[in-house]
This record gives sequence, structure tokens and C-alpha cells, in this order.
Amino acid sequence: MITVSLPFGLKVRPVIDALHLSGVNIQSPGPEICFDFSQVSFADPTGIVLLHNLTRYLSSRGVRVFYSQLAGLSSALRFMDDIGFFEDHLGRRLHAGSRLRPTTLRLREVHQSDVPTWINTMFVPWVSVCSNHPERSLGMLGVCVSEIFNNIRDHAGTDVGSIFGQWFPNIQRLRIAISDMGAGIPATVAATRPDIAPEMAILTAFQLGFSTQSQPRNRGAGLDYLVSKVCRELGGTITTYSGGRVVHADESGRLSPFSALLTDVGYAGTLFDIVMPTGTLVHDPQDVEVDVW
Amino acid sequence: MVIIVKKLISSCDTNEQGDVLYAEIRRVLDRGEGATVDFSGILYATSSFVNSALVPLLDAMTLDAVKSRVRFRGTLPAVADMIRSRLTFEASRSHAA
Repeated sequence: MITVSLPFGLKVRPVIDALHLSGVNIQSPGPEICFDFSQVSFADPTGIVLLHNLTRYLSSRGVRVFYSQLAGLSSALRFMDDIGFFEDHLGRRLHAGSRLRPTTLRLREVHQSDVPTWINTMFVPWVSVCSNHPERSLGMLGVCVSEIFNNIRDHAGTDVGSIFGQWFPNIQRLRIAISDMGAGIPATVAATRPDIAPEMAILTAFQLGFSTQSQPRNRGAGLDYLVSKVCRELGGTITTYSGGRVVHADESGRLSPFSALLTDVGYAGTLFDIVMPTGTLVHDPQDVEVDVW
Repeated sequence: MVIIVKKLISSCDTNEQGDVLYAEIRRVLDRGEGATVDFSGILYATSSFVNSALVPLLDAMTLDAVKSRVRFRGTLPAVADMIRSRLTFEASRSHAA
């Protein structure tokens, strides 16, 4: 059995590095993997979603996945227990008193067909309570999540993604991590633009009007919408991990690749890390309907 | 003729749901009537949905003609914004081409 010593901070890059250090390639992982939680002291939404997806992916390929060093129940593990991580993977919570916090969504693996229901009955009501904005003014957030899942379905070769959300009331910010284990944006773009570098492929995928036409009716509007709304309109940021590359969209909507690549451990999927202030969401209490034109 | 979206589809997320609305709008327009599309009860519409439900109208008519023959009501901000931005962009793109 290979043991992966998970890092102090459970984030995307350190988790990938930990896999690499243990000699794991997730495309040929061996029959058994054990994730050792003894060092984990901080759990970031991106790291949680990645590990959640990774466990599902490995299990679906017949790999037996184990978790060890859970007895101490650090604050990080308690947090993960509260959002249902261990219930999903071990079939039980670590602590009887664990319960979902008002500031977090339950960690979910969502299938494409369940996305609208999840958005309308779980996600938007939760954001509404957290941010004190009426649900009718939060449709834009529903679009963002649905666009990502449409992207997963159309481009990633899978119809399922994992999602987790956390609300930070002290800074009035919402953080959402959505991840798939699909082919990744660079590989998808390369199918029609083989000349393009992986970082450029991600940048290009965000351009309004660019589509790989993996679905004939795609018109390349979904990812541009994300940047337009989350960054330019609300002043948030989007970090996209895909195919081992990382691209960041800042508060002005400017996209730039990170020079440091993710270590190659066979992880090609895509993970969106969306951070947005909710104080910049605007709504008119009287306004239930607006004129299209 | 009023088309109540919620009676046709449960949400406005996918191309397939857009196809359903497009067929209904097309049916009304082909009879020579104007269509009023009522989005009451719909929180948002995605680009995929609008690409299938409304953008194909631009194959047969100008944006101004769409505006005069297809009216919208019950549109919450995220729905109105997506319809406006998608149709405007696609009309300008086809005009440029």
C-alpha cells in the first residue's frame, strides 16, 4: 500500500505535491492508497474538493482508499467532518456532534441532471441567508454554477462535479470550489487547436465567442460570463486549475497564467476556485422584474 | 400569444431545455402571431439555454425584428441580463460576418 502524507494545509498544490512525493500517479495508482491526515491542520475548500474528487475517482477505478490518523480530530478534521467529507467516504461521521455549520454548504458530488435542483433548493437559499440578499437577486450566482457544470458536461467527458462553498462573514466573502476529474481544458482545446500552449488554451477558453465546438451549439459564452460577473461586476477572483496549469482572473477580469505548473501526477481535471465579495451584490427591494431591453 | 416557460420546462439550464422553448416560440411566430415569453418563477437562464431558445431566431430575422415580435415578461435580473447580452452579441457577430 502507498501512503500519502497529506500536507499541513490541504490546498490544491500541496496535495498534488504530496501525491508526487509518494510516487503516486493517479492514472496508474496501484491497488491501495492510504491518505495520512496526521499533519493536516488547515483545510482549504479547494483541497477538500480535490481530495473528495480524487477519492471518488480512485475508488471508481477499483483502488482501495484508506484514511489514517483521524483520531486526534484536529480543527481541520472537525471542519471536514462537519461538511460531510468523512460521512461520504467512510459511511460515518468521525464525531457524533459533527453538524453542518451555517457558514458552509454540505460538500456534494452533483450530477448534471441534479444541478438545477441543487442550485434552486440548496445553493441560492444558503447564499441568501448568509449574505442577507433576497434569492431573486442571486440568479447570477446560479448562472455561474450552472455554466461550470454545463462546461463539465460538454468538455470534460463526465457529467459529475464536486462542489463546496464557504461563507466568510467577517470579510463578507463567498468562496466556491467546483472540481471535475475530466480531460481538462488544455486537452479539450488541443483537439481543435493543437498548436496552442496549455496556458494559452485556458486563456482562450475564457474568451467570449471561443468554442471548441465539442457541442455544435456552443458559442463560447459561459466562462466569459463568469469573469464578467464575478470579477468585473462584483470584484471577485477566479483561479482555474486545469491540465496541470493554473490561470488567475483578478478583480478587474485580467487573466494571467501562473508560471509554476502543478506537478504531473496524472491529474488533468479542472478546478475552479471562485472568491467573491457579496457586499457588491446589488438589488432593489422593489424590483422583481426587469425589462430585457 | 403568451408562452409560460414554467409550464414547459422546470428550469433554464441546458440546450435541451432551450430547444423546447424555441420550438414553442417558433410555432407561435410561424402562425404570424407575436410571442410573449413569461419567465415568472425562473431565477436564472444560462448561456446554453439562451443559445438554443432564442439565438436561433436570429437566423431568420434581425435583432430588431426579434424585439418587436418576441416580448418578455416576468424576467428577473439574471434572466433579462443573459437574454440581452446573448442576443446582442450574437446579432453583432452575425452582422460583422
